[in-house]
Amino acid sequence: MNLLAQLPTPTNFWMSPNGSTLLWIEIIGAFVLGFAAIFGLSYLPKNLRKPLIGIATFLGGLYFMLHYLWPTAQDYSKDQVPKGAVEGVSFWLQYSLPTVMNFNQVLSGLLLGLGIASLLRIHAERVAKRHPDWMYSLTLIVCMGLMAIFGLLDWASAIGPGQAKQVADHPGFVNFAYNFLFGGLFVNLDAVMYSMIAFFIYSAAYRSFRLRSIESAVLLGTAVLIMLSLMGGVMVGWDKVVDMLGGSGHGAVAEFMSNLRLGAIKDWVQNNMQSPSIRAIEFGLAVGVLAMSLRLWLGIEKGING
Amino acid sequence: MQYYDTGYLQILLVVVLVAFILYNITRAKQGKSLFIRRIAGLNAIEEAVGRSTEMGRPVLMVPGLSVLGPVGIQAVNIFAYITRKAAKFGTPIRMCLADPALYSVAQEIIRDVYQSEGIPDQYDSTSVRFISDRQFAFAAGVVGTIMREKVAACFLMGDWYAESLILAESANEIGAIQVAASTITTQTPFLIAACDYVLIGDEFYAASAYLSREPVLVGSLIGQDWSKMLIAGVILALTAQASFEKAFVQQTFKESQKGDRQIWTREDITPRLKKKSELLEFRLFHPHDPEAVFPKRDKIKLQPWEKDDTGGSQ
Amino acid sequence: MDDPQVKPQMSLGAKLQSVKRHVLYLTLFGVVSLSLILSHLFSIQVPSQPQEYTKEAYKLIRNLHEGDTIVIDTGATNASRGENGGQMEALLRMCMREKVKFVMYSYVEPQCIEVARAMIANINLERSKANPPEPAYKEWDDFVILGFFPDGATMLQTAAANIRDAWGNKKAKDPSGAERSVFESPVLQNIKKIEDIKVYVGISPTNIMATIVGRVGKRVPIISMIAGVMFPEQFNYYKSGQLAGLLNGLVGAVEMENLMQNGIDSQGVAGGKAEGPPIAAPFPGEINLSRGNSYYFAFCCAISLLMLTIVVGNVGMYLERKRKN
Repeated sequence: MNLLAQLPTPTNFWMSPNGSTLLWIEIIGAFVLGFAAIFGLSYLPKNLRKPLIGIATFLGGLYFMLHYLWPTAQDYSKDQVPKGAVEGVSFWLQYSLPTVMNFNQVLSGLLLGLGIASLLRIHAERVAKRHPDWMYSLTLIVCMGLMAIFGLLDWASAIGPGQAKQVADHPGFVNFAYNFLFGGLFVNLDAVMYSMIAFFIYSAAYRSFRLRSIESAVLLGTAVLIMLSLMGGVMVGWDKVVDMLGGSGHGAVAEFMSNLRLGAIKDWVQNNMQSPSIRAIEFGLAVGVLAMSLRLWLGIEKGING
Repeated sequence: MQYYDTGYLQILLVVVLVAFILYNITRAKQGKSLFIRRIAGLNAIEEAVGRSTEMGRPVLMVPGLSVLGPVGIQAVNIFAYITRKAAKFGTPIRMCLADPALYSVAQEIIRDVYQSEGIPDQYDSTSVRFISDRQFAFAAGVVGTIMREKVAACFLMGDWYAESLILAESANEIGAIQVAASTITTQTPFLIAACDYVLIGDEFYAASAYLSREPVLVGSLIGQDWSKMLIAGVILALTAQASFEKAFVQQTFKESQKGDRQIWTREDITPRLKKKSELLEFRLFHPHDPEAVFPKRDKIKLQPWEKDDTGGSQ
Repeated sequence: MDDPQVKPQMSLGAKLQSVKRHVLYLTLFGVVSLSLILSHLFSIQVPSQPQEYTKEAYKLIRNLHEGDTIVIDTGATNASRGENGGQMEALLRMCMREKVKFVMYSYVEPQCIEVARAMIANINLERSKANPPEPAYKEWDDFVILGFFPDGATMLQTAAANIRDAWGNKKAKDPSGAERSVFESPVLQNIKKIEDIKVYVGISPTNIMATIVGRVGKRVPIISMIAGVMFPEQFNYYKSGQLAGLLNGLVGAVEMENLMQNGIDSQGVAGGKAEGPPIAAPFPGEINLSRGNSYYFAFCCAISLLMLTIVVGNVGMYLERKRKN
């Protein structure tokens, strides 16, 4: 968004050419100002900080609420003038979005930096003090460093006209190293962690599915039926047996028997037990999140500590 | 003409729910005594912290993959209560987070807890930890903490996804007492299978009111209950109405859009029983959706950089 | 919690109730590995009965026309390839055979795009080996990849209002190697509003549908291809009419592959042979039964083992109670 687009003589303060000295001065200036603002805020007394946070939260919430609820202009483009005030607000909401989101992303980046600093502090301390598990901490620090270095080098190697194609055709050491670390290690380790869930589901089911009461018997029976319905072979076989017992023809017996098909039982459970209970829980959660959001937005959230 | 212009019905419903919540907050602030039922999972907090104190092992709190938002803040609020209990007995705590923004807020809140208890020197800045924003790297990090530090109590509350069972089973393996709550309904069964106590659905949001009895929170909770009763009432009323309408009321006209896309016309038809799409209940939530109208607008000349900004409007 | 120590004097019932974790895990590992190998060696095909929601998804995708553009919103990662992999491959095969163009992006994880690219490359390779060879599906002409969006909800909100504004700053390389706006590509050149997208397919192990349905629901038919664990939640969207079709994890992928093999006849029966033009025709003689079917036997074996283990635990409990009484 260009906030100054409507000015008669457009200024290009916000649009300094790439690589220009002015752009560098702006970047460094913004960096220094941003840090000064953040440190300034962190030293503000609590009674001053609270209303400031409250106002920022309210304005942020108002913006996104308007974004969701305000009538949206259709098929607009940047070279068009809005018709009426409603469309004017709609245009403003749409075009200001990238700027607002940039704020969001810059803040997220900064906070990620804080998170990484915390992580490094904990693990560097462990390595320095030769904590019993210091080798794990060292591994983490080394991996984090390597990933950051090769990630940046890989990214930098593809900048410039024709460089991306050059890298794709003739990858260098940094590209290979990055691919090895990300595609070869990280992505696969990610998959390893995910697949471990199968083992945990297995042991949790073994321990918890016990016929201790009537309720647990109902739960176990339903679970077994649903599990059977996931196995196509069992489903086909079950239905054949039902058909043999009279489910495939016409008449009252056949109609009754068709209810005993595995698919029909599964559908009944899904439609009449599973879905309604999930919906009920979801309604409760939605109302809960609405109340919590409202309290946060209006600054009346007290928390447990007041 | 539109038959039922219900495009804003959902917004109206939200406004009514908001009114319920705000009204009850005001009522509670005026000192009205409001009742909250017993929630077993929340009563178990003291038991779990007590056990940790006896065993001299840390209490672990994890808000899952919650980000800085209502769920994350609510989770940290509950963790602040647990921290206060732990701080009273000098029991160490560990909090592991996946969102850097929530990490910053949580660190502040936990520090405040120790300060308000008058023991700021007991606050260990490494007890609140950012692990990773990657789901399974986070899971691996937390499992590492569980296994290495042999936590005695584990509180898993917030947005849980596939990592829920990895953590819950690992904590189960070392015999930790676990209290969990998930706002993601599909993960609740996993937590029930592996944990000792589970808050189901909106019990998670009731926790802060239950634990603190703060009027704003209690009032808000009662407002939530009113809202749920309204929703249940609407569902029941519309179910009855739709059943009646489908069985007894006849459709006598047909609506169609002709010419101007904004105009709906009616023509008479031979009376017949209504189809599902003609029932009031259906139409309330499926308003006529006329095709979008594209107004002709005046044009202005764009500067070159403005065109580059989106590039899509040419 | 209740993981009693196994002692030498334990009764059979107690033993059956407290099988050690590593024994359980090793058994599962062994059974799944063995069944995968057997399935591969003997090409074991387990029959399946396509469910209504899978059939609806197939009907919609199968009846797209040449040149139509769809969205593939991918959250499929390497980790979820067991479920999403089969779903994605089936979808890509259908799009390529029907010459349906697609635009792809992700807001779940950046790696999703790389995973999808690898799948597209694999299917292109498969097409080149076909007899007679089929032309490769080309980026820019047949599909465009918009990459990763850090904030999917905002992007979709904008796309619902003005699709050209939402994706306008995305560029792709044309065959000459020049970078141009994606809206100049054959895939998106005729797309002016979200309604011009014929189908919106979300493939993910996580619940991205809440975001999608809330923003572009009612404007575009939506199909959800989801991991099995998220199915119960997604099923609500299907029942309420907000989803036009739904695939339930690996089972959904298997059903889709079987529908590609057998089609839906004029009476709406999957694999039926009724007279008249089929509701959704099959793709005879092509590679249809693939990744989904190759994992299905192992999946069925794992579920059978799970049920057997539950029975073992319960028998143990029964024996122990009997002994104590």
